[in-house]
Amino acid sequence: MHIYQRQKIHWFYELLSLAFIVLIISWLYFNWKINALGYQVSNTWTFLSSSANFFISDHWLPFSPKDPTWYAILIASVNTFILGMSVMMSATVFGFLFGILSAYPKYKLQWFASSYVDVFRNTPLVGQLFFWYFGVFYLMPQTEHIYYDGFVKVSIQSLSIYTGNLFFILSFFYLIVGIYFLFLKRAFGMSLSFLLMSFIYFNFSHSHYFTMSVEWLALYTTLTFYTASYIAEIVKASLLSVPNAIDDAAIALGLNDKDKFKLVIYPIALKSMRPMLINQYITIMKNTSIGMLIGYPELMNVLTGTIINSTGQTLICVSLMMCIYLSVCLFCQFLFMRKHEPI
Amino acid sequence: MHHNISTFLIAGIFKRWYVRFMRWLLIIYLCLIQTIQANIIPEIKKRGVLNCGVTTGLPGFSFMNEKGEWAGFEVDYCRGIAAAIFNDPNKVKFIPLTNQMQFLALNMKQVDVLARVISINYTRATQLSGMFPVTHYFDDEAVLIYNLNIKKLSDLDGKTICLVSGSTTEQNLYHYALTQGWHYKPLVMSRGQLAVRALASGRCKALAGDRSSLYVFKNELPKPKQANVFDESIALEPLGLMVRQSDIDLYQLIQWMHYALVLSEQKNITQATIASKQLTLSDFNEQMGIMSLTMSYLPDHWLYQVINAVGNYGEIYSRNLTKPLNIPRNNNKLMSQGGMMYSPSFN
Repeated sequence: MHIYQRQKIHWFYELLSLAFIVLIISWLYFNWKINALGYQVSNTWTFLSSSANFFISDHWLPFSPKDPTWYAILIASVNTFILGMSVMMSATVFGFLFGILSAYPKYKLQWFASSYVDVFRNTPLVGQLFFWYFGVFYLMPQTEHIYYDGFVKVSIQSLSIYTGNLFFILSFFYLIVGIYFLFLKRAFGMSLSFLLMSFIYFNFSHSHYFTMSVEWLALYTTLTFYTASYIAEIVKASLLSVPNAIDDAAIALGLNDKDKFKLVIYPIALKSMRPMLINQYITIMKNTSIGMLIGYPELMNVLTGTIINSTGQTLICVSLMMCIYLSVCLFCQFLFMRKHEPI
Repeated sequence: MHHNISTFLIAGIFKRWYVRFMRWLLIIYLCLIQTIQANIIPEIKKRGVLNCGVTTGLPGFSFMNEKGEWAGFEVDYCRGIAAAIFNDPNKVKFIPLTNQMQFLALNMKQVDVLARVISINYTRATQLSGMFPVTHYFDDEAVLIYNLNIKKLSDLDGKTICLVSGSTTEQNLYHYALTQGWHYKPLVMSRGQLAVRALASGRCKALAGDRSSLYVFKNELPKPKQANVFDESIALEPLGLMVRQSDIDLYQLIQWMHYALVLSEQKNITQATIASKQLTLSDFNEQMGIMSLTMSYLPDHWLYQVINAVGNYGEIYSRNLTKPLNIPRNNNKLMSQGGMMYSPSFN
């Protein structure tokens, strides 16, 4: 029998459990409905199409307060998504680095890697955020300072890096690649993401500087260092879980240290660390919601802070927020999932 | 032979189960509908305590003092309601709520009254199933600047302005900037204390909010003398208590309690004069011009109990706002002294 095949349960218990679930859900639904009827709560979705009437300080796509509310929610979702994706990439790099360093005693920096993990894994996330934001990034100069002949501009508001026409060239390149992929078989998703990146890069190309606000930097740093400590532990554990016999077999085959790691140990370890890494990537996406504390306009801040307050539609906004987080996290989950894996 | 749901779906047994199930649900639904009441005061009496939703901490309005008791301007209003119903200002359960959850907590009957510096506006009064009995504090929206030498509000053009999430400030500031033709960058912080720290570090050049809160925030800055609350105001922000639309009795209680607090200040009736028995109930009624104070579910001398417990409007104001925090009374003076506080007569 296949391991994932469904177990047979007596039909009575199956119906009983179904009835139980339906009962709970409908009890919650009717409870809410009765309260809503009793107190004349008007739950309408019409506010989504009326104009937003608030500014958003950081946005990757063009936005003005005259745009509809659903577009403001999209802007906030894109903020969340791009922040999460950037953190994913850098946390993976740092996590693998510190994980490999701390797995083997032969490295001189093992003590550093393991103490890094100890510090960042055992302190609360919000505490770390306040440390980076109020303790580190608020030390930046009040007025704008210019370094390296205008290559870097630093102030307490933001950090700007000179990019020249780089983003315009990148945008053009991505556009070409996106159109090329459109004509390939089964590359529609790839093409779509290249075209989206091309569009986002084109928006950056209006200015010769790439500007990141202090809030974005603080969130990026906090989440990167926090998650990297978890990833380091996962990587370390997976590397150490490869049996010694395999190690010996690789040596017996005459592989040197580098090839042994690259061809034998790492592929085996990667297989066991993958599900745990997916866990971490999903956690990153949800952890971006701490941006609400320091005023970064991500999904949580815009939807449950500003929009709930201006429209009063608490239930709708909260359920919308949950749905968007759910779909973003599911997307991440499917992105890293193997083919033919039971869901 | 094995059984699963799909076999029974085809056999139609599930359908019969479903019909029976829905019948039960309908019965439960109808039972629950009948539990909705039109009046809340009998329920509060039965419960023995008033549930009052307050802020998580705003000095002067609702905060926990050094003795670990809730105190403040709004807290005294809740104590006044409890005094009217129970003749005991301590029969109140204070429930701290965040800006985001306040209206949901009121709708879902977690609290009976919201006393958390709520600005009155059209959306809240019509679409949130709540009512505002009376404006008990005339506030306006202003801007707090720190270490910044500017003269006019329009000098903030293009600068970053800190805001606290979950207030009407965001919309009002946007409309003000729109009509004045200038632009700003908002930094929407989750809590007032964080916004104050951002202002102190120079991350934002100004902090916009209700004038009453800004006076509180000014004292939390490292050098309060270098801070300045602009006289220019962005919008008027009348603050009020909020009750559910179904609870008309509590609505009337709060409305006329507020009027009585104002009238007793006008007539120089204080907590001390009542507590020391200088003023008997009949004298009190005579001075206030009360003919008959009949109100359903309440004793006939409920206003006497209220003034006895919390004092008049001026006393509440000076105890919570003038003495500890130096917040001027501005628009909240009596109408005879140039303010906006008035009371209809009680005859």
